[in-house]
Amino acid sequence: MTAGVVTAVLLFAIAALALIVRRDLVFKLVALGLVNGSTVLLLVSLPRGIGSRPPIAAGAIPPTAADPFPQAYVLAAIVINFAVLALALVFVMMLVERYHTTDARRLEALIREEREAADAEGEDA
Amino acid sequence: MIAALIPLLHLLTSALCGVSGRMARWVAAASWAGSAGLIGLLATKVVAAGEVRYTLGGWPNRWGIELVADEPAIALLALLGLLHGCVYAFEWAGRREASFYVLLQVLVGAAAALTVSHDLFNIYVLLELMTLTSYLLVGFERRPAQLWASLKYLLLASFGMGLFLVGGAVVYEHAGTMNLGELAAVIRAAGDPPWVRLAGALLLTGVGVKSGIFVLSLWLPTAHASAPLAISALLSGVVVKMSVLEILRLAAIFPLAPAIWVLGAITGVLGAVYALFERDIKRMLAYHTLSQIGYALLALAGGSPAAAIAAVAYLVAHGLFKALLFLGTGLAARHVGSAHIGRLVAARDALPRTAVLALFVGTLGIIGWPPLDGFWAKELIGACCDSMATRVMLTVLALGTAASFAKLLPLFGVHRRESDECERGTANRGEMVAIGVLIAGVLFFGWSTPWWISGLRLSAAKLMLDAGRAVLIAGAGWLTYALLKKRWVALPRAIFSTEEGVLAVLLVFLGVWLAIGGGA
Amino acid sequence: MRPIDRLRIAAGALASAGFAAVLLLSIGRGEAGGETAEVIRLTATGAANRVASIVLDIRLYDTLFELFAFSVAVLGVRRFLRRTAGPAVEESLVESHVVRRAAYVLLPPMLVLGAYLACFGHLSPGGGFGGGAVAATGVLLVSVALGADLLAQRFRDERLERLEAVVLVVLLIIALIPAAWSRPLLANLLPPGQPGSLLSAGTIPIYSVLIALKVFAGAWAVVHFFVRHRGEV
Repeated sequence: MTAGVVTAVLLFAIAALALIVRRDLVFKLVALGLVNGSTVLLLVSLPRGIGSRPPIAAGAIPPTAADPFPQAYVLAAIVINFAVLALALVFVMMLVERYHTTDARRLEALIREEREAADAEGEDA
Repeated sequence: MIAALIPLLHLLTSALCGVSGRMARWVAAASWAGSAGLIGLLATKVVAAGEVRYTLGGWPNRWGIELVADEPAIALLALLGLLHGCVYAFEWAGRREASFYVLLQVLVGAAAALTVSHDLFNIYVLLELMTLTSYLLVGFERRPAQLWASLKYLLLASFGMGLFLVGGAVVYEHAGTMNLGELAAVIRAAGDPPWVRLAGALLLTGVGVKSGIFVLSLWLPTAHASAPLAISALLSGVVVKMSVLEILRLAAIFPLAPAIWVLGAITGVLGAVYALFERDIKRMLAYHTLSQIGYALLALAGGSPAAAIAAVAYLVAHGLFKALLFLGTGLAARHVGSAHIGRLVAARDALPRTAVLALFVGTLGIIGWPPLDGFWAKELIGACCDSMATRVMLTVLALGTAASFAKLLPLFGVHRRESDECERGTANRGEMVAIGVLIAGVLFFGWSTPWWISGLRLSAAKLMLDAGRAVLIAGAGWLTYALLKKRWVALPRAIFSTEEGVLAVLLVFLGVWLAIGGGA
Repeated sequence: MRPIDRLRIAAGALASAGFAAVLLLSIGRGEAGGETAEVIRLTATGAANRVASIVLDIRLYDTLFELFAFSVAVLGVRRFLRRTAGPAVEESLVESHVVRRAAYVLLPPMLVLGAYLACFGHLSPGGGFGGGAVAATGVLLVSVALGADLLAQRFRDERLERLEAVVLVVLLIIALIPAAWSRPLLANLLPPGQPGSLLSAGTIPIYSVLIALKVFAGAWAVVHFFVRHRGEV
């Protein structure tokens, strides 16, 4: 078991804990980024994929070269993670602009109040 | 090859929609027509040959991406095509913005690709793409409640997909391939090493977040209830189903049956209980989706290929009547201003006839009233399930369903008092077409399902008996609701925040791992 | 709510620890089989960079969807921030003259580096995504150091949007063309050429360049909207 794998798993667990414990929305996004980063680290440091040299050469490549497949997966994963973070950030920006807080619990309370007010108004009307 | 063409066509036309600005609707409609034709072609091939396989680029299966169109895939693809068309019809008059159609095309394309995908990493990419597009579509109208609901959805879904990718890494490490067929062979040959259980638990939990399993999908009620109408219908009707299809594929490879049974039971019961005590109809429908997914999972846990097909038939039936219910509710709510049942009943004279009809047929469908498609789907499941525990569970769930939907009964009363002040609302042509098609689906789809499972014999006597049983259950459900109405319970909602969601995902992962024999 | 919070933190810590433990105990170590030789043989499509031949040839299908994921993100940023973002913030975040001058000087080399990575992606590490990202980072550097104003004048949103969509259409058509000659979809039809030379590996460098264009345009739009309309809490 390589150091990379151990680090990746521990990072994933820590980032998940951060997602659970911290209330600040931006911090949650950072934690999500860390979750995704640790998955990427896991893919790259898989013992199967590690080799003596990169799989890039015009001529012959020795069989001990690194496995190019996990690297291809990592490429896709990174692009997708970027997309997720960007879009999450967009919604966070819009919500923060409206409610002026990044605290998840306060946001939940504010939005629920609004919804209940709208419902109650509808009930009376 | 056609299987690959369908999603690629959707992608191509979504890019074209992006360029075409105001003509986007027409490009999208043309694309729908094209893809419907392709789906039909593919269906004929699958029906003839049982299964159609294709590897892109001609590479060997182990390394390339393989597409497999089998019966479940083509059933869901047909449902997708139908709902796709209905959404367009429904939104035709109202939405002209190009980005709506671009997003829809990409969503449908990804879903279509998922039905036939047979490669773990491809599944990962497609699930993430579906998450992103449905996230944007839920928040499309930019109302704060929608934004918040979909943000929670995105965080949870991404976390779940992170788990999925970790599972994929474990699989690659040990099996050297991401192809499901090759993976199945490797697992069969490997005996029972710990990595199989680990990977199975990771993959199942990851997909489960998106598929409507109660504890994992705490985002679903708020997201589906806050989304724009047609999007709720599409989400409930299709997106969730695709993830369940992936569970089906995983279940064929990993020994996941006990976990699926437990998850199905919990989801079914909790979803039904929450639906029972919920007065906002859109939210009730969303909780109900959870419960119905539980139903399908219970069927799936049976293990046999016939059970899998029965589960898929149920998913298709559910897609039809749930979409019908969402569209009907949406129409009604639009005229009244809220989806609360009290207000809807009070204003029942003013509701558009289309909406009331949609709700009526949808309710009958969902409680399994014979001979609509819900009844037939439940028949199929009943015929494939042998365990007593499952049968009991399914009956309890059916009861719960009937009880929750008893709330809607006052809407359908026939009354002669037509007051002059309230005018009946009307639906526009597109909406009527969409609802009409779905009603036809709910009424007639069921009759075709017994032919899906070869070797299934349903005698007329059994059918009569089960029809009677279904009516009885419906009646019992209505009675239960009448009794419970006096004792209203306000259930805790505080579990729907993101933190608890992530915690739930981790705990469910551990639970699933233990359930499939992890620590042994 | 304190006891609930404590309970949540405790449960979270337990769950995370349990997760890490389960993973570390069960993850095991696969056998490095003899397949590496087969992989090497398989990926010899003329591209010296075997990862490029996987991303843009063997698993091109995945790459297409992932590119669309990126496009959807850009679309989301555009559509949602175009109207509702806060007022445009023009000042830069940086006071030091050295940094500002350096940013100004670094932009052209970064753009060139991005183009190089894209064009030579099949011969050395790099590729379309990396190239586009590097070029976009140059834009980000200038936007942050010198204020979003400088490049915003050159930023024609509609044109970029159109460019992106056209690139996608062209990409998909190239991918679909083999079907017309009854070859498998997404196959690489152009000649593999001499591995190591610029014009090798069939359609791979074409895809690389197109993807780099798309990623650059998209990331520029994202940077523009995020930096310019950053808003405040």
